[in-house]
Amino acid sequence: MARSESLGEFRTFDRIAYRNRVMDGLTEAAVALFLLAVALVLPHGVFAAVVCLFPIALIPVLRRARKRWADPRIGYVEPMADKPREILPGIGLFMLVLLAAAIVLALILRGAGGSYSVAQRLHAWEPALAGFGVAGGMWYTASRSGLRRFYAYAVVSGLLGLALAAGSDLGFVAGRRTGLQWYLLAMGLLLAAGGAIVFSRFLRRHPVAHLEENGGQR
Amino acid sequence: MASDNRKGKNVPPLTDLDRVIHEPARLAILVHLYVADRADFLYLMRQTGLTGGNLSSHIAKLETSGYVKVDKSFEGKIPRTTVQLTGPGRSAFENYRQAIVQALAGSGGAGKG
Repeated sequence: MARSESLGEFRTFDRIAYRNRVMDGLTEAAVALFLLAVALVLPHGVFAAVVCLFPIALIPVLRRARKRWADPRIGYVEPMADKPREILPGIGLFMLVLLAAAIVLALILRGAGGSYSVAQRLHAWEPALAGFGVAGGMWYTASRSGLRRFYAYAVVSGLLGLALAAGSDLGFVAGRRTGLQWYLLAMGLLLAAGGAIVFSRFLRRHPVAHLEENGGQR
Repeated sequence: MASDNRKGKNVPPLTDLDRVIHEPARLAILVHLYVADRADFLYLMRQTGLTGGNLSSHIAKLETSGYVKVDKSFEGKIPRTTVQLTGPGRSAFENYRQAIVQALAGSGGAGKG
C-alpha cells in the first residue's frame, strides 16, 4: 500500500496538502510542455535520450514557478511522497496490462485481415499506450487531490489515444505526422489551454497574502 | 459500576494524554504536518485559521518540546519559516492518537453498559 494511502483517518488532510500543491494549474502546464516537446523531437532520431532529460529539466522550472506565483498566495507544503518501492510495482503492472492488451488487440486485428505485421499494428496503437499512460498519472493526481478536472484529463487522454490509435490502424491518420505525434500535440495543447485557464483563475482568486497578516513572515 | 471500572482497566486515562499535543491549536498544526514532509508558515496559517502571532507561539512551544524543526530563511527581503515534524514528534503524535482512540473507545463502551 502506498504511503499516502496508509494514512487512515488523515486521508482528508493528505488530500488538502496534495490539492494545495496541484491546484494552481502549473502541473498540467508542465505536462503539456513535456508532451509538446516530445512531439517536436519525435521525428528526429534523438528521441529516447532527450525525452529522459525533459522531466529532469522541468522539475526545477516547475518548482521555481510555484515559488514565484503559488507559494506567496496559498503557502508552501510538500506532501508526503509515495516511496518508489511501493508504487513502482503498481505502475509496472499497469503498463504490462496495457502492453498485453495492445498485443492481444493487434493479434485480433491481424486475424481480422489485412497485410500489416504485429509490429506495424503495435506502432499504430502507440497513441493508445501513450494516452492510457498519461491517463494513469492524471487519475492518480485526481484521486489523491480530489480535483475533478484531472479525472476529465484522464478520460480525454484515454479516449483521444484510443481514437487516434484506431484511426492510425484503419489508415485514417496519414501524412507527415504519426498517430502518436497527433496525440502528443493534441493532448499537449489541451493541457496547455486547461493549465492557462486554471492558472489565471488561481491568480485572481488567491491574491498575494499581506505580510502584516502573517506576522511579517511567510 | 464495578464492572465498568474493570472494563476501563487497560484504557489509559485521559489525564495521561500529552498536553503539548492535546491543545487544539497545536493538534491542528501537528495533524497538517503529520501528512506532509514540510510546510511553511502561510500554509499552516491558512489551514489552521490561527493568527500569525498565535501560530508563532504554538510553533515555538512545539519546537521547544522537540516535536517540530523550524527553518528560517530569507527569500529576497521576506522571511520564510518552514516547519517539519521531527522523528520524536511523529512518534509522540502517533502515541497520542493511539491513546485518545483507546480512551474514547473505553469510555464509549462503559457508557453503553
